[in-house]
Amino acid sequence: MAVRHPWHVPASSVGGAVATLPIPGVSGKAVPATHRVEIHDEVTALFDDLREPILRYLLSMGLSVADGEDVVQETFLALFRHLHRGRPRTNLRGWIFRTAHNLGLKSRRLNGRARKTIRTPSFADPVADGAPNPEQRLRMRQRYDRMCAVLNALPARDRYCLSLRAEGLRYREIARALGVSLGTVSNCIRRAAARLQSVQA
Amino acid sequence: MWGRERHLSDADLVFLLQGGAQARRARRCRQHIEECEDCRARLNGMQAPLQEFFAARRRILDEALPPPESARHQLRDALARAVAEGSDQRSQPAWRLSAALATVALAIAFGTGGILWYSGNAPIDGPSVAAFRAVPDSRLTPGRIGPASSVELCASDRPAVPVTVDRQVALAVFRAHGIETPQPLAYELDHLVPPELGGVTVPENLWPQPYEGSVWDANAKDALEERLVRKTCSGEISLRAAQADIARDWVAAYRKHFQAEKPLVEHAAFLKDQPWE
Ligand SMILES: [Zn+2]
Repeated sequence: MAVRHPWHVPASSVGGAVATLPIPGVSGKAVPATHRVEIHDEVTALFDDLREPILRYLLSMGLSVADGEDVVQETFLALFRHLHRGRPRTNLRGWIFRTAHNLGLKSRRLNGRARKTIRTPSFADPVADGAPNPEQRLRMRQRYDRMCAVLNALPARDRYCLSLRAEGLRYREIARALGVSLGTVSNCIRRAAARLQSVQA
Repeated sequence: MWGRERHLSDADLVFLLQGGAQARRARRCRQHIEECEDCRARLNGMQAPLQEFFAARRRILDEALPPPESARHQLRDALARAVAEGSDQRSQPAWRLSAALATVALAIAFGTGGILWYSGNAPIDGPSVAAFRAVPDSRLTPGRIGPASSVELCASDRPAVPVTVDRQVALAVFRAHGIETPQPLAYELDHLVPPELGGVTVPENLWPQPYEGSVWDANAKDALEERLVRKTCSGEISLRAAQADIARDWVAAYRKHFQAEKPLVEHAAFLKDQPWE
């Protein structure tokens, strides 16, 4: 399996179903950014780190790649304005995903592509080097579709929650992104895990 | 309080799945996992399908992602324009210019209507946490609701709108409640009637709710709010009843709606974590 991201590979036994995404320059403390240029660079660095997780999240919400890319652009421009105004940096990744989530909902409405289910893009592209053979891919694909099917029976919020967790967000970040309490996040993850457990191997 | 013979709750297991937590709770849970085969099996049973799903999802979605270059260029251009446009404006709020005030800001805790009061640096002088009150002084915070109906409030996919409280209003609320210099990270500026239940952002509906001091803390109230929203939106109770219950005495409302004398373990245990690290 091609591992393209340092934080991928969830492997540890207890704890760490997903590793945490690194955020450069964001330690949770308020760092006074005085220059627009500094903010510009910071936003660009965050973009490089978070574009793929956000885009995957938007695709799993049912957005097209093109709409997803638009939302990512809007999100990082909003981030620039947010930082430029000296707004709090606490839980910044939660803030970024929240913005992307809300813009994603809006885009889905406007573009009339409202999907209430996890949609998966089609397998049209050629097989990359190092990827499993077509048969393995098909089997993985079928299994993934089955997992999506059971998850689609859950409330949308549970799926959003799970998708954010899949992108390595911590629970407090998910809570902020979705505007819910930590307890809600916990319950969503629990329900989703129970659903997935029900999918026979 | 937790005997070793007592198994971990599902919420504990979910908490462990997150990993990386150094809190006392995490240590307690990890220790139990090491000693208890049953809970270890439950944890693995929960974790394995999640990991499988995450890995498959990642693999499949990644195949759809275009390379980043053109998006990166587009963003750089847009940011360059934003930087150029901003250079002839003085858009920094005046209070940012004061070194003393620059350390204080409002972080917005979305959804629950809670606003976390925090400061980047140590406070200047005499920060204090006022004597703990589980329920606000009803003369100062009787609760205030807007005209929204339950149909509007319960509309599905209604994006939770971030609630901001003007800084001056926030300070006035703290002052009214006898807190001159709010201690960082100690309070949630709470909507007594949460916005999801039609509460509005005015001083009559706001109060500084301490995080510490009692089991009846901000976390328990969040759990109640969630429960009332669910009951309202499912039609089990009317919006008016939910608003009245939480405004009159939210601790009594918690007892009534959860049929529990004290906050439930799942709320206390899971929610006790600090919202921000
Ligand atoms: Zn056990």
